[in-house]
Amino acid sequence: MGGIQNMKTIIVKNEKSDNLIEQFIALYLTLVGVSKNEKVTFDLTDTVWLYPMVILPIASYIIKTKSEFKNSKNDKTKGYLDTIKFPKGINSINEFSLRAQTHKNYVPISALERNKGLEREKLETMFSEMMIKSLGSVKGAESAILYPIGELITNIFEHSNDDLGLVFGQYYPKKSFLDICIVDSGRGLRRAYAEDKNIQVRDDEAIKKVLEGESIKAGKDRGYGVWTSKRMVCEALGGQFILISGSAAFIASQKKQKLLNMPNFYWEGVIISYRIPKPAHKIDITPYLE
Amino acid sequence: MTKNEKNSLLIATEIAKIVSSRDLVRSLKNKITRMKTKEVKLDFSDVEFVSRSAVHEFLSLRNQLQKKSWKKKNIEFTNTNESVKEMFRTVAANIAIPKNKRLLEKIEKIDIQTLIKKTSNS
Repeated sequence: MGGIQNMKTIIVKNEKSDNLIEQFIALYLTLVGVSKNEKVTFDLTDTVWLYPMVILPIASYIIKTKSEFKNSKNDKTKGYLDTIKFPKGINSINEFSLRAQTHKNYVPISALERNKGLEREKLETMFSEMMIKSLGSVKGAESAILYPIGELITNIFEHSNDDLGLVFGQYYPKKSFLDICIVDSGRGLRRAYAEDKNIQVRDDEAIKKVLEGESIKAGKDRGYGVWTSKRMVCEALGGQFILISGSAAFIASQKKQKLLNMPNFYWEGVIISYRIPKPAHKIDITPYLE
Repeated sequence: MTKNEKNSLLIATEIAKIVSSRDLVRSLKNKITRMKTKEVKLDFSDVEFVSRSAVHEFLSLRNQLQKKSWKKKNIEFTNTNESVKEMFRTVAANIAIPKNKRLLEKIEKIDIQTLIKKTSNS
């Protein structure tokens, strides 16, 4: 036997609104109760619109577990998923470049592979440049946008032990915001502390340690990446920031910060998703660098 | 070989216009060590942005190569744009005098079911 009929089917529902927290909840409801590395079928049949925070973790899960998916019956959604190369994404700069020329408003999922070294960095550069271009030119905004992308992607290859990082972004011109999601299926924060520093903590405590600047690696001036990225997104750019690792999550906006435990949910690795409103004024990133 | 190739490395060519990965900065070490000149310029022309982590790695690399007793290299960072300059200055200052550890305050602990309820009511 085998094949699609024997796998658990997970119906992916439309988010109730475009709110980033709604997307986080939609992702939670999609993956809650799924066992570690369980092969499933994601049923996207009824989806009309999908945001990066939901699409990218599903793509990563499909790649890691060789799970399957049923495409949307909505032609536009199906076309969108094809255009962004869901689920495997693009791992070559030539292909990315070709896609960027033919689909100017849709950036494909970028599959960043550890062993591709320079090609990986150039692909990340192309992705970052597309994100900046989509938001338009505002003095200082470029650095504020590039900062979290660079820091959060480099964390994948420094800490996660995963050989693949996925990054995806979508600008919504009518809503004037950019959503970016960065995902790995590595060891996650809790295991990184346990394995590299012999610190035994829960998932929520591991997230707290990361935000407090307790670097997983030794050395001065390390451990700034996630916290300063969150500050760049929430304070410099007025956006929202969500980090998930294991069974815990951190949600932050300009004024509020929440730490959550999610029983019966486990993401092996780290998911970071954030939303940046289109910058309207000059941004100075210096105060947020620390 | 041009003059440029003898004592300098163009970072935009060697890595990318946006540099974020520590491992790629580390990978420059062998290339620099093989250069015949003691004075080496890392040329940031056309580099748009360097991440904090990558800057940290560039400074570590410079430190390591300057401390070597054999094949010692003096590294100079040249043609940096304003954002790259600012990043180098910030990271260097933090290496010299590290900031105190942050303590997370004003963080609300909430369970997922409460968040779902709150979100659906709002």
